[in-house]
Amino acid sequence: MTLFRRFIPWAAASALAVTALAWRPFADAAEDRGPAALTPVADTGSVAGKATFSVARPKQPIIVYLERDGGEIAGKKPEPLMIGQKGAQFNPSFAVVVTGQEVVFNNDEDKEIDHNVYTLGAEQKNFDIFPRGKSVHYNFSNAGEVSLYCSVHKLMDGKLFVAPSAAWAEIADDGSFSIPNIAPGAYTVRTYQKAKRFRDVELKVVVKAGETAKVPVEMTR
Amino acid sequence: MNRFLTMLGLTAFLAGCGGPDHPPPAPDKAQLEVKLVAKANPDVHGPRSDSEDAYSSSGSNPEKGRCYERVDYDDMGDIAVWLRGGGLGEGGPVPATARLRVGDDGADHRLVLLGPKKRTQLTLENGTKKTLTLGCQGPKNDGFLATVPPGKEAVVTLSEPGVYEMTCDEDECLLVTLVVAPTSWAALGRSGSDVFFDNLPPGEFEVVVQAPRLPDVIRKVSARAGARSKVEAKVSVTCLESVK
Repeated sequence: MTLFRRFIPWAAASALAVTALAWRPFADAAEDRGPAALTPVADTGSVAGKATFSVARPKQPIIVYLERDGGEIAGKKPEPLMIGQKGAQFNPSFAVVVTGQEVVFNNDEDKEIDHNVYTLGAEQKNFDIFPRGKSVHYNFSNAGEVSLYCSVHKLMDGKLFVAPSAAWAEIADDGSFSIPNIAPGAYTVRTYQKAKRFRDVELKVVVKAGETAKVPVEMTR
Repeated sequence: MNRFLTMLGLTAFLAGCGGPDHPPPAPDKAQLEVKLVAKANPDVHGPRSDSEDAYSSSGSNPEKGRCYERVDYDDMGDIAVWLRGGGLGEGGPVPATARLRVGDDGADHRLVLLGPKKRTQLTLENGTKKTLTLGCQGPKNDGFLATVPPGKEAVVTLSEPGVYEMTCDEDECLLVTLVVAPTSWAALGRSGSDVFFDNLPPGEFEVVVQAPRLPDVIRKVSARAGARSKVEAKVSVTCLESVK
């Protein structure tokens, strides 16, 4: 556990880097419209707001995401997310992926060490044993939280949040969030917390072209 | 020879009684014995020779070896077993108290079993030198948030049955599963051992077994009056759908 802790800053930095990598196609497509920008749609709106917290929030990610009422949210599929396993650690140890996005579990150990990655939660799969230098590819199709484990190594834990679409954003330290390039229509705003401390939020919002729908996300216990 | 026959007779007697550790069932009550078996993926082999030295806990780099600590399926603790179904009523063996110590090396349990309706008091002990903020939020908005100074304790309870993940603000890696059983018919066990329920009302039940980091196992059981039912629960990743 001690070493596990020493890896936290490194793992957090890696998580940011890999998440940024996963976001790149949106940035390419939408040019500086923000990390969560969807495929540009003419006459789109956005959803933004500032979250408030009834008690101090944990220093772990809180995600705001949208579900379209009665339909799906179109968007370009992000590039594959690579999850390394060097040092018997998932790297990144946490990431947000989108349904249908390819996730690559890569055994990048520098020694001949096997891993048996499996998942519990929204999708429960066993990726079986794979040796150093090998990887397995998988597209998660069920939205929700997925816990990552290795059946060999007891401290090898990770988590994914599989968002239903690319219409998501992480709540910043100051509580702000913004999800741009949303097609007009009725949506449900939901939250996901990696460390569950508050009641998850469920709000209705209507997005209009050229406007920003302000959403008050009140996280209470 | 006599000794052999005596042993044989004693073995047969004990087998007839269903085991030496438990009394026979009351005529109007049932008994249930849940055998807990944890299985590794059979394809998992030991560390290869060139990595064993450097990566084992006793090797040249024990700190690194800690990361590679293996799951010991033969000695897996904190396995929760609980029953669900109609007519169970009260009287089950769920513990009234539970204790979790958080030290510099993390928590001393990965899973804690609690009874429903605040039946179990969970004592959170802070064995570190810093104040810890420990909390969870359940599926029905039940939960707790406790600030525990160094060397101190806090007592918390949960009401709604379900599975909670307790996290710590000061330690992102700390993760403890809190299982609030739906009835008082719940107990903890270890792999390779049995969990025994006595004075059980006869009926049809589901046995739910939850081991840390492993998928749940659910077994149906028919518990008859005056009889002991036995069920084996094998917890393993091999029951998951395989993706190659």
